[in-house]
Amino acid sequence: MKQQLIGGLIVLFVIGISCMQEQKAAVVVDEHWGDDSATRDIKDVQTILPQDGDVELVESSCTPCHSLRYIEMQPQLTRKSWEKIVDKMVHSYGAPVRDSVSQQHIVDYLYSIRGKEG
Amino acid sequence: MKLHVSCILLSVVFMFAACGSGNTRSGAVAEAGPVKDSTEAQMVKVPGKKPLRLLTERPYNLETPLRYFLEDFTPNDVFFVRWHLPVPPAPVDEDTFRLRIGGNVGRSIALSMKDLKTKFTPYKIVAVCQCAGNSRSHFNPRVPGAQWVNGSMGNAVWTGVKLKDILAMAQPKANTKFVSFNGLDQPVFPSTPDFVKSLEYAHAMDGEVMLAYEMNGEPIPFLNGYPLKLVVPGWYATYWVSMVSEIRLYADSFKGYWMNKAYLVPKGVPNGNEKPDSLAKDMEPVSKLDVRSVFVSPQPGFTMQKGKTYEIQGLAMDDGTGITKVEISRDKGKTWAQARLDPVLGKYSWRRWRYTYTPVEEGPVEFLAKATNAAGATQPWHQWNRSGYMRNEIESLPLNVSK
Repeated sequence: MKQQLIGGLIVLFVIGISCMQEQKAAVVVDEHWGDDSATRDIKDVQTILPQDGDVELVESSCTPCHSLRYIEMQPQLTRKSWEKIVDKMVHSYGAPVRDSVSQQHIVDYLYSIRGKEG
Repeated sequence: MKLHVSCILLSVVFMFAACGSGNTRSGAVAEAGPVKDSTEAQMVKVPGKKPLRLLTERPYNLETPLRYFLEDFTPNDVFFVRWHLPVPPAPVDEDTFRLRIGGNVGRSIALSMKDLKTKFTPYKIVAVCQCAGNSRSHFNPRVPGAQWVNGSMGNAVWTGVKLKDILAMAQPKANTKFVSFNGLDQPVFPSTPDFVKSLEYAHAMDGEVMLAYEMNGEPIPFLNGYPLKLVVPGWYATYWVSMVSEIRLYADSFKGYWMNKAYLVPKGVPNGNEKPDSLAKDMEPVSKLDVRSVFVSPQPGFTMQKGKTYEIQGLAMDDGTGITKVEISRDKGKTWAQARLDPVLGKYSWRRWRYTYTPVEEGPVEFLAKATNAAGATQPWHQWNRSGYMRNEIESLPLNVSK
């Protein structure tokens, strides 16, 4: 019984030491990744969309409710997707778009800067 | 001998317990375009917050950088910010602020913050607040919307009052079926639907849904919904209405844009799945959190040294059923090894997992993480829906090994 106890303690000690070594060596990579050095004040955020086509129409129709960054943020989307989005902005959210011709011009512009086939 | 075995086991458990959160991308990402790619990090500073990842500056949509997920509780000054409507409410005066409860009640009431803090028994719960669109930028094909990486989530201790206690004071009528929640944020145009969410009455009265006035022991930050935020444990953050100022009860159903048109997922389908070429016709409001796990450390692309031991670390969460297992694979899912789970911080908290790894070969290595909960629910290999909600696809973490 005594021998078993001593044997058990030795095993316990060895396992303990080896675990400690392993855990001591395990590196948690928590270095400061992500670049905060380029941080801007939110007031200085300004998005400039490509200055061609109906960019002014897009700016005046969209920016009452959200910044142009919302457009810049989007992935490339199919023409059908852009049509659905603009339709939702006009008919569900009440974006100030005069008529269906203007609406189509907005779709064309968005597709030109953020479009993909499909 | 039994004693020895249990001693050894205990010691092993102790050793493991003694040991100490990357924008993982599992879909196609980089896309050239005339304007910057949406997933490119831009850091911004807003009052009351440390630098956060910019999604949009109006409305405020700001994401928590991944490294803060190394902490079990997400600090208030880096907690993600999500608003739908562009008119930032004016600073709220806690002395004049009133929470109004009306509709299908015996008596309409207006409660001050002092009432809420003194007339009710305080209630505290740990819960993950995760945006329904968290990780939207990972969907393939990409979908429109706020292009979150993994940082529109956070874990916090919420202190406030159980909603059932507050509603009881207004004497709800017996036939009440729904409860709606409106905050102080407002649209620009009257034609824009105000952001109002609803819960079924039985859910609102379950003793866990609450109105919080504190987050991690401090007043709720202005940008996170000061002075009162609805906390719906186990449900996506779209229900966690900020600056709640008006609660209404209904005998019949509640209808509103943000419940009936927005935040919808395919009905009764696991993980809200559908196919781009055959979209689901039957939709329902998004609700409970899916089982998911995310990698937290190291960051994607990190280079490990051969022979050195690293801890791969992440977080797993679900709707409160309880995470019971997180498995790691290095061979694209052929074999899985169990990660160690940290103690449970609360039913609705996330749960940290750790996996110790010593690379023996140079070259690229890719880890996969998969969580399972007490009901056996786990994560899908592939997932997609048109609005990019409930992202819980098995995530991969690409790393390198050098000499």
